[in-house]
Amino acid sequence: MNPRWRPVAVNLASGAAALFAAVVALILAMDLLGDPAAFQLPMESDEAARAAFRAEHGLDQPLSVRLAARVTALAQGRFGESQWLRRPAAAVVAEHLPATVALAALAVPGGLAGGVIIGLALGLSAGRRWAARLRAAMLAGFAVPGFVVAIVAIQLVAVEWRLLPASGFDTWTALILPAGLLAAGFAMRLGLLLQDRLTALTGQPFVRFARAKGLSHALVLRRHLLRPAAGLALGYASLQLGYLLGGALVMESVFAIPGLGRLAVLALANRDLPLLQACLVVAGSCFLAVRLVADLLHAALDPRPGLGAVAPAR
Amino acid sequence: MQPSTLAPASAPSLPRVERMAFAARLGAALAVLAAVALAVPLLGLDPIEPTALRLAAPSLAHPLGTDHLGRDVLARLIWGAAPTLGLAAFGLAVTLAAGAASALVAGYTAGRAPAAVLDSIAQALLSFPPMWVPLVVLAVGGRSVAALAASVVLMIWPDVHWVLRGEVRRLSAEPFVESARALGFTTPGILAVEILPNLAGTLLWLGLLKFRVAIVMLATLGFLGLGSPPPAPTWGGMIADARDWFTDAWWLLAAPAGAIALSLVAAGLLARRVARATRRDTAIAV
Repeated sequence: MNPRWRPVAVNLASGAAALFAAVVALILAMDLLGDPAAFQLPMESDEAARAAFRAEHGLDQPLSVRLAARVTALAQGRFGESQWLRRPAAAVVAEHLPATVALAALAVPGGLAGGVIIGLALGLSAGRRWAARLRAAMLAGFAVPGFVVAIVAIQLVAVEWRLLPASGFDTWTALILPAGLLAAGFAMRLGLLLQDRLTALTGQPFVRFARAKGLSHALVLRRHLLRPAAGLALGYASLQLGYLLGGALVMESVFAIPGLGRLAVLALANRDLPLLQACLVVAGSCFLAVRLVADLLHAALDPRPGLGAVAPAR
Repeated sequence: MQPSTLAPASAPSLPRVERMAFAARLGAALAVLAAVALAVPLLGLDPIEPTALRLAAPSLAHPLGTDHLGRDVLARLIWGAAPTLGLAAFGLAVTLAAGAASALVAGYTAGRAPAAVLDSIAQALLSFPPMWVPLVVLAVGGRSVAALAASVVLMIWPDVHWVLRGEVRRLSAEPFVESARALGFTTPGILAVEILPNLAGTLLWLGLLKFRVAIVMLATLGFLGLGSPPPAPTWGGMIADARDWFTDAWWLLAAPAGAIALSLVAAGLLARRVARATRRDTAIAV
Protein backbone atom coordinates (compact mmCIF):
# COMPACT_ATOMS: atom_id res chain seq x y z
CA MET A 1 0.00 0.00 0.00
CA ASN A 2 1.19 3.49 -0.78
CA PRO A 3 2.37 4.83 2.61
CA ARG A 4 0.31 7.91 1.96
CA TRP A 5 -2.92 5.97 2.51
CA ARG A 6 -1.75 4.04 5.54
CA PRO A 7 -2.92 6.54 8.19
CA VAL A 8 -6.29 6.69 6.46
CA ALA A 9 -6.66 2.94 6.81
CA VAL A 10 -5.45 3.01 10.43
CA ASN A 11 -7.98 5.71 11.33
CA LEU A 12 -10.81 3.87 9.63
CA ALA A 13 -9.91 0.55 11.22
CA SER A 14 -9.53 1.98 14.73
CA GLY A 15 -12.74 3.97 14.44
CA ALA A 16 -14.64 0.92 13.23
CA ALA A 17 -13.12 -1.16 16.04
CA ALA A 18 -14.21 1.38 18.65
CA LEU A 19 -17.73 1.50 17.29
CA PHE A 20 -17.91 -2.29 17.15
CA ALA A 21 -16.67 -2.60 20.73
CA ALA A 22 -19.26 -0.07 21.93
CA VAL A 23 -22.05 -1.90 20.09
CA VAL A 24 -20.99 -5.25 21.54
CA ALA A 25 -20.85 -3.71 25.03
CA LEU A 26 -24.42 -2.47 24.63
CA ILE A 27 -25.61 -5.86 23.34
CA LEU A 28 -24.03 -7.59 26.33
CA ALA A 29 -25.56 -5.04 28.69
CA MET A 30 -29.01 -5.72 27.21
CA ASP A 31 -28.43 -9.44 27.37
CA LEU A 32 -27.31 -9.46 30.97
CA LEU A 33 -29.97 -7.00 32.08
CA GLY A 34 -32.53 -9.69 32.72
CA ASP A 35 -34.60 -12.47 31.25
CA PRO A 36 -36.84 -11.05 28.49
CA ALA A 37 -39.12 -14.08 28.88
CA ALA A 38 -39.84 -12.95 32.45
CA PHE A 39 -40.92 -9.41 31.63
CA GLN A 40 -42.32 -9.83 28.11
CA LEU A 41 -44.76 -12.62 29.06
CA PRO A 42 -47.63 -12.29 31.54
CA MET A 43 -46.72 -12.82 35.19
CA GLU A 44 -48.76 -15.99 35.49
CA SER A 45 -47.11 -17.74 32.51
CA ASP A 46 -45.51 -21.06 33.44
CA GLU A 47 -41.97 -22.26 32.83
CA ALA A 48 -43.00 -24.19 29.69
CA ALA A 49 -44.38 -21.03 28.08
CA ARG A 50 -41.21 -19.15 28.99
CA ALA A 51 -39.03 -21.91 27.53
CA ALA A 52 -41.10 -21.79 24.34
CA PHE A 53 -40.67 -17.99 24.23
CA ARG A 54 -36.91 -18.34 24.67
CA ALA A 55 -36.70 -20.96 21.94
CA GLU A 56 -38.78 -18.81 19.60
CA HIS A 57 -36.53 -15.76 20.08
CA GLY A 58 -33.30 -17.74 20.11
CA LEU A 59 -32.65 -16.85 23.76
CA ASP A 60 -31.73 -20.46 24.63
CA GLN A 61 -28.76 -20.32 22.28
CA PRO A 62 -25.25 -19.86 23.66
CA LEU A 63 -24.12 -16.25 24.22
CA SER A 64 -21.76 -16.28 21.23
CA VAL A 65 -24.57 -17.32 18.87
CA ARG A 66 -26.92 -14.66 20.27
CA LEU A 67 -24.19 -12.04 19.97
CA ALA A 68 -23.50 -12.97 16.35
CA ALA A 69 -27.22 -12.86 15.56
CA ARG A 70 -27.58 -9.39 17.10
CA VAL A 71 -24.55 -8.01 15.27
CA THR A 72 -25.83 -9.47 11.99
CA ALA A 73 -29.22 -7.89 12.57
CA LEU A 74 -27.62 -4.50 13.24
CA ALA A 75 -25.47 -4.80 10.12
CA GLN A 76 -28.64 -5.42 8.14
CA GLY A 77 -30.23 -2.32 9.61
CA ARG A 78 -32.63 -4.15 11.92
CA PHE A 79 -32.34 -2.10 15.10
CA GLY A 80 -35.19 -3.67 16.99
CA GLU A 81 -37.93 -1.89 18.89
CA SER A 82 -37.58 1.05 21.22
CA GLN A 83 -38.77 -0.08 24.66
CA TRP A 84 -39.61 3.46 25.71
CA LEU A 85 -41.55 4.61 22.62
CA ARG A 86 -42.83 1.14 21.60
CA ARG A 87 -41.89 1.85 17.97
CA PRO A 88 -39.16 0.61 15.62
CA ALA A 89 -35.92 2.27 16.73
CA ALA A 90 -34.79 2.83 13.13
CA ALA A 91 -37.88 4.91 12.36
CA VAL A 92 -37.43 7.02 15.50
CA VAL A 93 -33.78 7.69 14.66
CA ALA A 94 -34.66 8.58 11.06
CA GLU A 95 -37.17 11.15 12.30
CA HIS A 96 -34.50 12.77 14.46
CA LEU A 97 -31.80 12.97 11.80
CA PRO A 98 -32.97 16.09 9.90
CA ALA A 99 -32.69 18.41 12.91
CA THR A 100 -29.19 17.19 13.69
CA VAL A 101 -28.06 17.49 10.07
CA ALA A 102 -29.54 20.99 9.80
CA LEU A 103 -27.81 22.09 13.00
CA ALA A 104 -24.45 20.72 11.84
CA ALA A 105 -24.89 22.23 8.37
CA LEU A 106 -25.42 25.67 9.92
CA ALA A 107 -22.85 25.46 12.71
CA VAL A 108 -19.81 23.99 10.95
CA PRO A 109 -19.46 26.47 8.04
CA GLY A 110 -20.14 29.35 10.40
CA GLY A 111 -17.59 28.11 12.90
CA LEU A 112 -15.02 27.47 10.18
CA ALA A 113 -15.41 30.99 8.76
CA GLY A 114 -15.29 32.57 12.20
CA GLY A 115 -12.32 30.47 13.27
CA VAL A 116 -10.31 31.31 10.16
CA ILE A 117 -11.01 35.03 10.63
CA ILE A 118 -10.05 34.93 14.32
CA GLY A 119 -6.98 32.77 13.64
CA LEU A 120 -5.71 34.97 10.81
CA ALA A 121 -6.37 38.17 12.75
CA LEU A 122 -4.53 36.85 15.80
CA GLY A 123 -1.78 35.02 13.94
CA LEU A 124 -0.87 37.97 11.73
CA SER A 125 -0.91 40.59 14.46
CA ALA A 126 1.52 38.99 16.87
CA GLY A 127 2.72 41.37 19.53
CA ARG A 128 -0.26 43.71 19.28
CA ARG A 129 -1.92 44.42 22.57
CA TRP A 130 -5.47 43.80 21.33
CA ALA A 131 -4.46 40.39 20.00
CA ALA A 132 -3.06 39.35 23.37
CA ARG A 133 -6.19 40.64 25.08
CA LEU A 134 -8.53 38.84 22.71
CA ARG A 135 -6.61 35.61 23.20
CA ALA A 136 -6.70 35.94 26.97
CA ALA A 137 -10.41 36.72 26.86
CA MET A 138 -11.14 33.65 24.73
CA LEU A 139 -9.07 31.41 27.00
CA ALA A 140 -10.94 32.80 30.00
CA GLY A 141 -14.21 32.19 28.16
CA PHE A 142 -13.53 28.46 28.14
CA ALA A 143 -13.98 28.51 31.91
CA VAL A 144 -17.72 28.87 31.39
CA PRO A 145 -19.30 25.61 30.19
CA GLY A 146 -21.37 25.77 27.01
CA PHE A 147 -24.62 24.89 28.72
CA VAL A 148 -24.34 27.90 31.06
CA VAL A 149 -23.84 30.20 28.09
CA ALA A 150 -26.78 28.53 26.36
CA ILE A 151 -29.31 28.97 29.15
CA VAL A 152 -28.29 32.60 29.67
CA ALA A 153 -28.50 33.22 25.91
CA ILE A 154 -32.00 31.73 25.75
CA GLN A 155 -33.10 33.91 28.63
CA LEU A 156 -31.72 37.07 27.03
CA VAL A 157 -32.34 36.57 23.33
CA ALA A 158 -35.54 34.53 23.38
CA VAL A 159 -37.31 35.45 26.60
CA GLU A 160 -36.28 39.05 27.39
CA TRP A 161 -35.74 40.48 23.92
CA ARG A 162 -38.02 38.05 22.04
CA LEU A 163 -35.72 38.03 19.01
CA LEU A 164 -35.70 34.29 18.29
CA PRO A 165 -37.70 31.24 19.36
CA ALA A 166 -36.43 29.65 22.57
CA SER A 167 -36.67 26.04 21.52
CA GLY A 168 -37.86 23.43 19.07
CA PHE A 169 -37.39 22.86 15.36
CA ASP A 170 -40.67 24.22 13.97
CA THR A 171 -39.01 27.04 12.06
CA TRP A 172 -35.50 27.56 10.79
CA THR A 173 -35.11 30.60 13.01
CA ALA A 174 -35.20 28.25 15.99
CA LEU A 175 -31.83 26.88 14.87
CA ILE A 176 -30.09 30.26 14.64
CA LEU A 177 -29.28 30.59 18.32
CA PRO A 178 -28.08 27.02 19.00
CA ALA A 179 -26.13 26.89 15.74
CA GLY A 180 -24.65 30.30 16.49
CA LEU A 181 -23.49 29.18 19.93
CA LEU A 182 -22.00 25.97 18.56
CA ALA A 183 -20.27 27.94 15.81
CA ALA A 184 -18.93 30.49 18.31
CA GLY A 185 -17.36 27.83 20.52
CA PHE A 186 -15.94 26.09 17.49
CA ALA A 187 -14.59 29.37 16.03
CA MET A 188 -12.85 30.26 19.30
CA ARG A 189 -11.10 26.89 19.52
CA LEU A 190 -10.12 26.85 15.86
CA GLY A 191 -8.98 30.48 16.05
CA LEU A 192 -6.59 29.72 18.91
CA LEU A 193 -5.27 26.58 17.20
CA LEU A 194 -4.72 28.49 13.94
CA GLN A 195 -2.95 31.28 15.78
CA ASP A 196 -0.56 28.78 17.35
CA ARG A 197 0.03 27.13 13.98
CA LEU A 198 0.65 30.42 12.18
CA THR A 199 3.00 31.61 14.94
CA ALA A 200 4.93 28.35 14.71
CA LEU A 201 5.06 28.52 10.92
CA THR A 202 6.32 32.13 10.88
CA GLY A 203 9.48 31.02 12.67
CA GLN A 204 10.14 28.14 10.26
CA PRO A 205 13.32 28.31 8.15
CA PHE A 206 11.40 27.89 4.89
CA VAL A 207 9.32 30.96 5.64
CA ARG A 208 12.38 33.02 6.50
CA PHE A 209 14.03 31.77 3.35
CA ALA A 210 11.02 32.74 1.26
CA ARG A 211 11.15 36.23 2.77
CA ALA A 212 14.91 36.45 2.20
CA LYS A 213 14.37 35.43 -1.40
CA GLY A 214 12.43 38.65 -1.76
CA LEU A 215 8.98 37.15 -2.24
CA SER A 216 6.23 39.62 -1.59
CA HIS A 217 4.49 39.58 1.77
CA ALA A 218 1.24 38.47 0.14
CA LEU A 219 2.91 35.58 -1.69
CA VAL A 220 4.69 34.31 1.43
CA LEU A 221 1.42 34.54 3.31
CA ARG A 222 -0.57 32.72 0.68
CA ARG A 223 1.88 30.02 -0.28
CA HIS A 224 3.92 29.33 2.84
CA LEU A 225 1.65 30.23 5.72
CA LEU A 226 -1.96 29.85 4.64
CA ARG A 227 -1.55 26.67 2.65
CA PRO A 228 -0.08 24.61 5.52
CA ALA A 229 -2.54 26.17 7.97
CA ALA A 230 -5.47 25.36 5.70
CA GLY A 231 -4.98 21.65 6.39
CA LEU A 232 -5.41 22.26 10.10
CA ALA A 233 -8.57 24.30 9.60
CA LEU A 234 -10.19 21.80 7.24
CA GLY A 235 -9.18 18.84 9.40
CA TYR A 236 -10.60 20.48 12.50
CA ALA A 237 -13.80 21.45 10.71
CA SER A 238 -14.31 17.93 9.38
CA LEU A 239 -13.88 16.43 12.85
CA GLN A 240 -16.40 18.88 14.25
CA LEU A 241 -18.79 17.98 11.46
CA GLY A 242 -18.33 14.30 12.32
CA TYR A 243 -18.98 14.94 16.02
CA LEU A 244 -22.00 17.16 15.33
CA LEU A 245 -23.61 14.63 12.98
CA GLY A 246 -23.59 12.34 15.98
CA GLY A 247 -25.79 14.88 17.69
CA ALA A 248 -24.92 17.96 19.71
CA LEU A 249 -25.92 16.52 23.08
CA VAL A 250 -25.90 19.73 25.08
CA MET A 251 -27.27 22.24 22.59
CA GLU A 252 -30.01 19.91 21.35
CA SER A 253 -31.04 19.17 24.93
CA VAL A 254 -31.02 22.79 26.09
CA PHE A 255 -32.93 24.05 23.05
CA ALA A 256 -35.24 21.00 22.91
CA ILE A 257 -34.25 20.37 19.29
CA PRO A 258 -35.52 16.92 18.25
CA GLY A 259 -32.13 15.66 17.06
CA LEU A 260 -29.99 12.59 17.50
CA GLY A 261 -28.09 13.92 20.53
CA ARG A 262 -31.20 14.77 22.53
CA LEU A 263 -32.73 11.44 21.52
CA ALA A 264 -29.66 9.60 22.83
CA VAL A 265 -29.79 11.47 26.15
CA LEU A 266 -33.52 10.71 26.51
CA ALA A 267 -32.98 7.06 25.54
CA LEU A 268 -30.32 6.74 28.22
CA ALA A 269 -32.43 8.55 30.82
CA ASN A 270 -35.28 6.09 30.06
CA ARG A 271 -32.93 3.07 30.02
CA ASP A 272 -34.00 2.35 26.43
CA LEU A 273 -30.90 0.50 25.25
CA PRO A 274 -32.16 -0.60 21.80
CA LEU A 275 -32.91 3.02 20.92
CA LEU A 276 -29.58 4.19 22.31
CA GLN A 277 -27.88 1.51 20.26
CA ALA A 278 -29.61 2.64 17.07
CA CYS A 279 -28.50 6.22 17.82
CA LEU A 280 -24.97 5.00 18.46
CA VAL A 281 -24.74 3.03 15.21
CA VAL A 282 -26.01 5.97 13.15
CA ALA A 283 -23.90 8.58 14.96
CA GLY A 284 -20.80 6.39 14.82
CA SER A 285 -21.27 5.59 11.14
CA CYS A 286 -21.71 9.28 10.28
CA PHE A 287 -18.56 10.07 12.20
CA LEU A 288 -16.60 7.30 10.46
CA ALA A 289 -17.85 8.36 7.01
CA VAL A 290 -17.03 12.05 7.50
CA ARG A 291 -13.63 11.19 8.93
CA LEU A 292 -12.86 8.85 6.03
CA VAL A 293 -13.71 11.50 3.44
CA ALA A 294 -11.66 14.09 5.34
CA ASP A 295 -8.70 11.72 5.63
CA LEU A 296 -8.84 10.81 1.95
CA LEU A 297 -8.95 14.47 0.94
CA HIS A 298 -6.13 15.27 3.31
CA ALA A 299 -3.99 12.41 2.02
CA ALA A 300 -4.67 13.44 -1.57
CA LEU A 301 -3.75 17.08 -0.89
CA ASP A 302 -0.73 16.45 1.37
CA PRO A 303 1.49 13.80 -0.19
CA ARG A 304 3.98 13.58 2.69
CA PRO A 305 3.83 9.99 3.93
CA GLY A 306 2.67 9.48 7.49
CA LEU A 307 1.04 12.89 7.67
CA GLY A 308 -1.94 12.12 5.50
CA ALA A 309 -4.56 11.94 8.20
CA VAL A 310 -6.53 14.28 10.33
CA ALA A 311 -5.49 14.18 13.95
CA PRO A 312 -8.36 14.19 16.38
CA ALA A 313 -8.26 17.33 18.46
CA ARG A 314 -10.40 17.43 21.53
CA MET B 1 0.66 10.63 13.61
CA GLN B 2 0.04 12.83 16.64
CA PRO B 3 -3.48 12.21 17.90
CA SER B 4 -3.38 15.31 19.97
CA THR B 5 -2.38 18.92 19.92
CA LEU B 6 -0.66 18.33 23.21
CA ALA B 7 2.66 17.57 21.56
CA PRO B 8 5.09 18.34 24.36
CA ALA B 9 8.44 19.93 23.76
CA SER B 10 11.36 18.33 25.50
CA ALA B 11 10.53 18.58 29.16
CA PRO B 12 12.83 18.03 32.09
CA SER B 13 11.10 17.28 35.36
CA LEU B 14 10.22 20.15 37.67
CA PRO B 15 13.14 22.02 39.18
CA ARG B 16 13.28 21.38 42.90
CA VAL B 17 12.39 24.88 44.12
CA GLU B 18 9.39 25.16 41.81
CA ARG B 19 8.25 21.74 42.91
CA MET B 20 8.33 22.81 46.55
CA ALA B 21 6.46 26.04 45.87
CA PHE B 22 3.84 24.05 44.02
CA ALA B 23 3.53 21.48 46.75
CA ALA B 24 3.06 24.26 49.28
CA ARG B 25 0.36 25.99 47.25
CA LEU B 26 -1.45 22.81 46.32
CA GLY B 27 -1.23 21.66 49.92
CA ALA B 28 -2.68 24.93 51.16
CA ALA B 29 -5.52 24.77 48.65
CA LEU B 30 -6.34 21.21 49.62
CA ALA B 31 -6.23 22.08 53.32
CA VAL B 32 -8.73 24.92 52.77
CA LEU B 33 -11.02 22.62 50.79
CA ALA B 34 -10.83 19.90 53.42
CA ALA B 35 -11.52 22.41 56.20
CA VAL B 36 -14.58 23.70 54.36
CA ALA B 37 -15.83 20.18 53.72
CA LEU B 38 -15.37 19.28 57.41
CA ALA B 39 -17.00 22.47 58.59
CA VAL B 40 -20.23 21.79 56.72
CA PRO B 41 -21.67 19.15 59.06
CA LEU B 42 -20.55 21.25 62.03
CA LEU B 43 -22.43 24.28 60.75
CA GLY B 44 -25.47 22.11 60.27
CA LEU B 45 -25.85 22.99 56.59
CA ASP B 46 -28.10 20.43 55.00
CA PRO B 47 -28.11 20.20 51.20
CA ILE B 48 -31.43 18.37 50.88
CA GLU B 49 -33.69 19.40 53.77
CA PRO B 50 -35.79 22.39 52.62
CA THR B 51 -36.15 25.44 54.83
CA ALA B 52 -39.23 27.65 54.93
CA LEU B 53 -37.44 30.31 52.88
CA ARG B 54 -37.77 29.80 49.12
CA LEU B 55 -35.58 31.72 46.69
CA ALA B 56 -34.18 33.78 49.57
CA ALA B 57 -31.41 36.17 48.60
CA PRO B 58 -27.95 35.68 50.12
CA SER B 59 -27.95 36.54 53.82
CA LEU B 60 -25.98 35.69 56.94
CA ALA B 61 -28.06 32.59 57.59
CA HIS B 62 -27.79 31.46 53.97
CA PRO B 63 -24.59 33.01 52.54
CA LEU B 64 -25.50 31.97 48.97
CA GLY B 65 -29.28 32.14 49.38
CA THR B 66 -31.78 29.32 48.99
CA ASP B 67 -33.22 27.64 45.90
CA HIS B 68 -36.79 27.16 44.66
CA LEU B 69 -37.38 24.39 47.21
CA GLY B 70 -35.83 26.39 50.03
CA ARG B 71 -32.61 24.39 50.13
CA ASP B 72 -29.40 26.13 51.19
CA VAL B 73 -27.31 26.85 48.07
CA LEU B 74 -23.97 26.98 49.89
CA ALA B 75 -24.60 23.57 51.42
CA ARG B 76 -25.54 22.16 48.04
CA LEU B 77 -22.49 23.75 46.46
CA ILE B 78 -20.15 22.19 49.01
CA TRP B 79 -21.84 18.78 48.95
CA GLY B 80 -21.89 18.97 45.16
CA ALA B 81 -18.11 19.31 45.07
CA ALA B 82 -17.65 15.61 45.77
CA PRO B 83 -19.51 14.26 42.69
CA THR B 84 -17.87 16.91 40.49
CA LEU B 85 -14.39 17.87 41.72
CA GLY B 86 -13.88 14.78 43.85
CA LEU B 87 -14.95 12.34 41.19
CA ALA B 88 -12.93 14.19 38.55
CA ALA B 89 -9.85 14.05 40.77
CA PHE B 90 -10.38 10.37 41.55
CA GLY B 91 -10.91 9.44 37.89
CA LEU B 92 -7.92 11.52 36.96
CA ALA B 93 -5.69 9.85 39.53
CA VAL B 94 -6.68 6.42 38.21
CA THR B 95 -6.15 7.60 34.62
CA LEU B 96 -2.72 9.06 35.31
CA ALA B 97 -1.59 5.88 37.09
CA ALA B 98 -2.96 3.68 34.31
CA GLY B 99 -1.61 6.02 31.63
CA ALA B 100 1.87 6.09 33.16
CA ALA B 101 1.91 2.30 33.44
CA SER B 102 0.63 1.71 29.90
CA ALA B 103 2.97 4.36 28.51
CA LEU B 104 5.98 2.79 30.23
CA VAL B 105 5.12 -0.57 28.69
CA ALA B 106 4.21 0.78 25.24
CA GLY B 107 7.06 3.27 25.09
CA TYR B 108 9.71 0.83 26.18
CA THR B 109 8.52 -2.10 24.05
CA ALA B 110 7.94 0.07 20.96
CA GLY B 111 7.55 -2.05 17.86
CA ARG B 112 6.58 -5.20 19.76
CA ALA B 113 3.25 -6.79 20.60
CA PRO B 114 2.38 -5.14 23.97
CA ALA B 115 3.02 -1.69 22.53
CA ALA B 116 0.98 -2.47 19.43
CA VAL B 117 -1.99 -3.66 21.51
CA LEU B 118 -1.96 -0.69 23.92
CA ASP B 119 -1.46 1.83 21.11
CA SER B 120 -4.30 0.32 19.09
CA ILE B 121 -6.69 0.55 22.04
CA ALA B 122 -5.73 4.18 22.58
CA GLN B 123 -6.11 4.89 18.88
CA ALA B 124 -9.54 3.27 18.82
CA LEU B 125 -10.76 5.29 21.81
CA LEU B 126 -9.42 8.45 20.19
CA SER B 127 -11.46 7.63 17.08
CA PHE B 128 -14.72 7.66 19.01
CA PRO B 129 -16.86 10.79 19.31
CA PRO B 130 -15.87 12.01 22.79
CA MET B 131 -19.27 12.69 24.33
CA TRP B 132 -20.48 9.26 23.26
CA VAL B 133 -17.96 7.58 25.57
CA PRO B 134 -19.87 8.42 28.78
CA LEU B 135 -23.20 7.60 27.12
CA VAL B 136 -22.09 4.05 26.32
CA VAL B 137 -20.41 3.57 29.70
CA LEU B 138 -23.48 4.82 31.58
CA ALA B 139 -25.73 2.59 29.47
CA VAL B 140 -23.62 -0.46 30.28
CA GLY B 141 -22.77 0.36 33.88
CA GLY B 142 -25.99 2.03 34.96
CA ARG B 143 -26.18 5.44 36.56
CA SER B 144 -23.56 4.91 39.23
CA VAL B 145 -20.48 6.59 40.62
CA ALA B 146 -18.38 3.73 39.27
CA ALA B 147 -19.73 4.27 35.74
CA LEU B 148 -19.07 8.02 35.97
CA ALA B 149 -15.51 7.36 37.13
CA ALA B 150 -15.05 4.82 34.33
CA SER B 151 -16.27 7.43 31.83
CA VAL B 152 -13.61 9.87 33.05
CA VAL B 153 -10.93 7.20 32.72
CA LEU B 154 -11.94 6.03 29.24
CA MET B 155 -12.29 9.58 27.96
CA ILE B 156 -8.91 10.80 29.23
CA TRP B 157 -6.66 7.74 29.19
CA PRO B 158 -5.98 7.67 25.40
CA ASP B 159 -4.53 11.20 25.33
CA VAL B 160 -2.51 10.57 28.49
CA HIS B 161 -1.19 7.29 27.08
CA TRP B 162 -0.29 8.88 23.77
CA VAL B 163 1.59 11.85 25.19
CA LEU B 164 3.42 9.90 27.90
CA ARG B 165 4.32 7.12 25.50
CA GLY B 166 6.08 9.66 23.30
CA GLU B 167 7.98 10.94 26.34
CA VAL B 168 9.01 7.40 27.32
CA ARG B 169 10.25 6.69 23.82
CA ARG B 170 12.27 9.90 23.82
CA LEU B 171 13.71 9.19 27.27
CA SER B 172 14.56 5.58 26.37
CA ALA B 173 17.04 6.86 23.81
CA GLU B 174 18.80 9.17 26.32
CA PRO B 175 22.39 8.37 27.29
CA PHE B 176 21.58 7.91 30.98
CA VAL B 177 19.17 5.12 30.15
CA GLU B 178 21.79 3.49 27.98
CA SER B 179 24.29 3.78 30.83
CA ALA B 180 21.86 2.16 33.24
CA ARG B 181 21.41 -0.68 30.79
CA ALA B 182 25.17 -1.07 30.42
CA LEU B 183 25.47 -1.14 34.22
CA GLY B 184 23.16 -4.14 34.24
CA PHE B 185 19.93 -2.55 35.53
CA THR B 186 16.88 -4.69 34.87
CA THR B 187 14.14 -3.31 32.64
CA PRO B 188 11.71 -2.72 35.54
CA GLY B 189 14.54 -1.02 37.39
CA ILE B 190 15.26 1.31 34.48
CA LEU B 191 11.57 2.11 34.07
CA ALA B 192 11.09 2.82 37.77
CA VAL B 193 14.32 4.64 38.56
CA GLU B 194 15.39 6.31 35.33
CA ILE B 195 12.25 6.96 33.29
CA LEU B 196 9.27 7.30 35.65
CA PRO B 197 10.74 10.19 37.69
CA ASN B 198 11.35 12.07 34.46
CA LEU B 199 7.67 11.85 33.59
CA ALA B 200 6.68 13.80 36.72
CA GLY B 201 6.49 17.22 35.06
CA THR B 202 4.52 15.94 32.09
CA LEU B 203 2.16 14.00 34.38
CA LEU B 204 1.44 17.05 36.50
CA TRP B 205 0.87 19.33 33.49
CA LEU B 206 -1.24 16.83 31.61
CA GLY B 207 -3.18 15.97 34.75
CA LEU B 208 -4.10 19.61 35.34
CA LEU B 209 -5.23 20.06 31.73
CA LYS B 210 -7.27 16.86 31.84
CA PHE B 211 -8.73 17.82 35.20
CA ARG B 212 -10.51 20.57 33.30
CA VAL B 213 -11.82 18.06 30.75
CA ALA B 214 -13.08 15.78 33.51
CA ILE B 215 -14.81 18.62 35.38
CA VAL B 216 -16.56 19.85 32.23
CA MET B 217 -17.65 16.31 31.34
CA LEU B 218 -19.05 15.53 34.80
CA ALA B 219 -20.76 18.92 35.03
CA THR B 220 -22.29 18.40 31.58
CA LEU B 221 -23.57 14.94 32.51
CA GLY B 222 -25.01 16.38 35.71
CA PHE B 223 -26.69 19.14 33.74
CA LEU B 224 -28.17 16.61 31.29
CA GLY B 225 -29.60 14.67 34.23
CA LEU B 226 -27.20 11.76 33.76
CA GLY B 227 -24.94 12.44 36.75
CA SER B 228 -25.33 11.26 40.32
CA PRO B 229 -29.05 10.67 40.94
CA PRO B 230 -31.11 13.36 42.72
CA PRO B 231 -31.64 14.69 45.33
CA ALA B 232 -27.86 14.51 45.88
CA PRO B 233 -26.55 17.85 44.61
CA THR B 234 -24.11 18.14 41.70
CA TRP B 235 -22.90 21.41 40.23
CA GLY B 236 -24.26 20.56 36.81
CA GLY B 237 -27.59 19.50 38.29
CA MET B 238 -27.79 22.76 40.26
CA ILE B 239 -27.38 24.70 37.02
CA ALA B 240 -30.15 22.64 35.42
CA ASP B 241 -32.39 23.40 38.44
CA ALA B 242 -31.50 27.09 38.20
CA ARG B 243 -32.71 27.31 34.61
CA ASP B 244 -36.26 28.41 35.42
CA TRP B 245 -35.37 30.68 38.33
CA PHE B 246 -32.10 32.45 37.72
CA THR B 247 -33.58 35.65 36.29
CA ASP B 248 -35.22 36.28 39.66
CA ALA B 249 -32.58 34.56 41.78
CA TRP B 250 -29.18 35.11 40.14
CA TRP B 251 -27.33 33.31 42.92
CA LEU B 252 -28.82 29.99 41.84
CA LEU B 253 -26.86 30.15 38.60
CA ALA B 254 -23.90 32.24 39.76
CA ALA B 255 -22.91 29.89 42.60
CA PRO B 256 -22.50 26.59 40.68
CA ALA B 257 -21.31 28.26 37.44
CA GLY B 258 -18.82 30.29 39.46
CA ALA B 259 -17.59 27.18 41.24
CA ILE B 260 -17.03 25.41 37.91
CA ALA B 261 -15.35 28.45 36.38
CA LEU B 262 -13.06 28.90 39.41
CA SER B 263 -12.04 25.24 39.30
CA LEU B 264 -11.29 25.43 35.58
CA VAL B 265 -9.35 28.69 35.88
CA ALA B 266 -7.36 27.38 38.86
CA ALA B 267 -6.42 24.19 37.03
CA GLY B 268 -5.58 26.16 33.89
CA LEU B 269 -3.36 28.65 35.73
CA LEU B 270 -1.55 25.85 37.57
CA ALA B 271 -1.06 24.02 34.27
CA ARG B 272 0.45 27.15 32.77
CA ARG B 273 2.84 27.51 35.68
CA VAL B 274 3.90 23.88 35.36
CA ALA B 275 4.41 24.40 31.64
CA ARG B 276 6.58 27.42 32.33
CA ALA B 277 8.50 25.70 35.12
CA THR B 278 9.26 22.73 32.88
CA ARG B 279 10.06 25.04 29.94
CA ARG B 280 7.33 23.38 27.98
CA ASP B 281 5.82 24.68 24.78
CA THR B 282 2.85 26.64 26.13
CA ALA B 283 0.83 26.29 22.93
CA ILE B 284 -2.63 25.76 24.29
CA ALA B 285 -4.43 22.48 24.03
CA VAL B 286 -8.09 23.29 23.62
